[in-house]
Amino acid sequence: MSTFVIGLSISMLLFLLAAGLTLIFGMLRIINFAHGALYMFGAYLAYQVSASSGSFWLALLVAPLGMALIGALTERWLLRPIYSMPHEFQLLITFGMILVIEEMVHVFWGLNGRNIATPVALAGGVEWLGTTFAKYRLFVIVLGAAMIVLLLLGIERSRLGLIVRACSVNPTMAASLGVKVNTVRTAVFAAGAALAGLAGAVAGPMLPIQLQMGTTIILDCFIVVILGGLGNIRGAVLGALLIGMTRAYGQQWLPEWIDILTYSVLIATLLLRPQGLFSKKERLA
Amino acid sequence: MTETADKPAAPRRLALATVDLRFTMALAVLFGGVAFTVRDDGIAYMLSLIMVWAIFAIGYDLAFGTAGILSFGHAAYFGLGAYGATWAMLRFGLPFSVGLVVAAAFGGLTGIVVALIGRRVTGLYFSLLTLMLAELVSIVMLTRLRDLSGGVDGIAGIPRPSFMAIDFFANGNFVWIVLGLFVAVILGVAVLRRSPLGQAFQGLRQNPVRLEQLGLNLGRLRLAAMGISGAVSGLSGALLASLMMYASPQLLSWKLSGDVLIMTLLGGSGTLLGPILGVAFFEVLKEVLAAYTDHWYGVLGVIFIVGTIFMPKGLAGVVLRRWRRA
Amino acid sequence: MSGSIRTSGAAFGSAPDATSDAAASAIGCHGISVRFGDFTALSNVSLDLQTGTTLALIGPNGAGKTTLLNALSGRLALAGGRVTLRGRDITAEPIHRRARLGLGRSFQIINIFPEMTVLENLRLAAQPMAFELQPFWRSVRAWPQLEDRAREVAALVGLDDALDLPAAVLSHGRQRAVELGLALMSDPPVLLLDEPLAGVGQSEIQGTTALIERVRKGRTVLLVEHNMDVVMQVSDEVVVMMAGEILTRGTPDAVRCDERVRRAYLGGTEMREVTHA
Repeated sequence: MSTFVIGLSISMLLFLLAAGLTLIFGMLRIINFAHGALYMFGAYLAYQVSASSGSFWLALLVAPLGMALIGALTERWLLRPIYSMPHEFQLLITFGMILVIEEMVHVFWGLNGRNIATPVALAGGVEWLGTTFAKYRLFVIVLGAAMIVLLLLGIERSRLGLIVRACSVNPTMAASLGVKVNTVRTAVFAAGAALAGLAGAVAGPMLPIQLQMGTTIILDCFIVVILGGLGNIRGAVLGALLIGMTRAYGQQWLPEWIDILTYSVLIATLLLRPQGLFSKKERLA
Repeated sequence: MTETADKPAAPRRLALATVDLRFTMALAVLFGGVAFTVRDDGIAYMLSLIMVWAIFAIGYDLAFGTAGILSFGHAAYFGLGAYGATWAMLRFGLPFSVGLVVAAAFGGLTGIVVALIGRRVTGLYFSLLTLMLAELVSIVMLTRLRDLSGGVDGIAGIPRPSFMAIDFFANGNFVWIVLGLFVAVILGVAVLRRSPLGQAFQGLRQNPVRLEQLGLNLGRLRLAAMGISGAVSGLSGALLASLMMYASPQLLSWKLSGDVLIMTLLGGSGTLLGPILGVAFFEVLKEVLAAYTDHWYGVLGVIFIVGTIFMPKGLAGVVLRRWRRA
Repeated sequence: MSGSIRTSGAAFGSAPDATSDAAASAIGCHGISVRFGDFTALSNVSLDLQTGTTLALIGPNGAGKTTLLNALSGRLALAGGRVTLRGRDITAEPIHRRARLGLGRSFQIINIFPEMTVLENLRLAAQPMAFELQPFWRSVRAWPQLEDRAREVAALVGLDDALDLPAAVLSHGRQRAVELGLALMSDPPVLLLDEPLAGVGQSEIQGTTALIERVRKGRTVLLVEHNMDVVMQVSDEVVVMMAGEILTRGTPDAVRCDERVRRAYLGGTEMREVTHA
């Protein structure tokens, strides 16, 4: 049973990351290779805030906001100038960003790994039916679920979400209706970065905070996004659940084959249903 | 106001391909000159490293800059080429030259297999597929085929070539072999680019829809492009393994795939000069920056970003454009 | 592979309309349907072109004209029906195979190789017919017949003074000429022209029309076009489409007077005023 909770908490973490990535792709049509680096920076930032102020909750607030700022600046100054260039160049920018972000972490926090102490309110475990569940993991699950609801409602029901969807489907039309498409783009990238930052902060008490944490999680994040369908938030939820559970149970039963199986499923998906396992419509590549 | 007049075009003195080749050969002569005059083991190693990576980048650009196939998984061909040569030489005691052929074969076949697997997939999804397939290869080699790959530790003791009693373990001697292969690859790719197949590749990049309508089989062209690109990449992998006398699954990592893409783009894709300049710039910059600051990696990142925004045709673009007008 | 270039006409086994089968169907579709999800773009369409004739396909926007061309050339999967080329069923053949069997096509949106020169554009178009597998061991100039043929077609479409210009710098009308030239390189017996006059400036219409006249001799041409003057001038027959179906078919004059056709075009005004392209 505890494996189930662990799996679910991994799924929620993956979802937070994947949601940002898929949101950015849906709107800007670029794969943000620097997403893992943003996540990592968010984690370090959260560490700093919680270490300096003693409050994890403050860190949980500041990290996403800080990353949103970084995201907004990046989109405005680095990505916007090259939108007219072929896609490869946007990738190059995101690669460059990885180097710069990693180096900034190196500069501020050195090479040693860090850790965020679990906040007192969430430390320890909860007894239920004979098994102990880590309170923190339960918190992550609740937070993740809340974000799922927030994002889906925001995108599908709110006016803001309508504007975002309009811009991503038909930017010219949206612009002619008076929408500032450039601002929306910046906002979406910032939101994606914020989600990455939130994921980083959330991951802090669970996983070691180190320079490689971005690269180790980014491929799983890609897998979730592809399985769910690029640009598809609901799909990201299901994809994250699939991968998170697979990781948790796979760790228990088939640790040696888990990576191979995951990649094989992914490759099969790309070949047979590139629009994602959970997408209803055909998506144009 | 009618649009019936042609736009003014820059007067073309020499064809781009010709200038490109001349500059490239000049670079090769430069490399040879440096190797000949500066008898320093470290410099020879550096030159060899640059040339090996340049061959990789040129191979990569055959798929990307020429045929328009954006691949995120070229490390697979590079690494498998390295391992192919390693196995041929260490397990079967075959000579270096055979090792090179095996490496090219491994790389080329893998490229063809990837193209076959992804034949119904195009665009971004194909690019992602290349990434995932390469990752699969990397993981399998690292975890399941530990005996063959040496696992995390890799395989050491990969030999240099040996013939005519010349000690190729001395970098100063080995650099000539690398230079020879470098020139061979340059000339081979130059001919390929000008050949009917090369023209078809260009068409594939510029307008695949039209090319297909003219009667060319796009799937077969992609196979050819991936096969040749993979073979050249595999060759360079073997050279690196012999240069470092070491091979490890690191050579299959997606970071390597990213590196070669970056170097090619920064140097200027679609030309011969571009990948070479990109590699040389990258390696030299690494050395120079590392001497000044611990944070050279970040500075490199800034240079990438700035270079992308202000020099989209890469270093080669700057060089070649000025010379053609002159 | 020395000597002359094999053309797709030769691939057919005979010159365009010199055989006893001169009245046979050059290209046709039988009961084809095309669907995009829930939307039916073509509904049970059957059309047949006699060898050597020029058929114009007209109709309001969204009638399915380009869809029909795409179905014939192989770009769209059919939800039913067959396509035949010179009596041969090509329904299952991919685009490039149909091209090699003698089907040429020009596109509505200019679809050329922008970074190549005019000569390189045309020369590339000569390659599929010259080689089954493209050679890679010698420069393309080692096969002079490719460039010879390219120059031939360039002269035909009026581009012999622009051979060394990159296609991207040409005026719109001249890019159209390249577009048409590309389609002609294989000397296809059957030619699909998708709005060859789209975006062509007033001063160039006459030239382009004359070009179409030259090109259609000895070929079977299916022409989609909105410019009614040109349609009247070059076509032997006109087919009117609407909402994915064929409304009527007849000589240009007959169709012009057809009441149903007038009604289809918003009360008849659209047909008369479309002379200003």
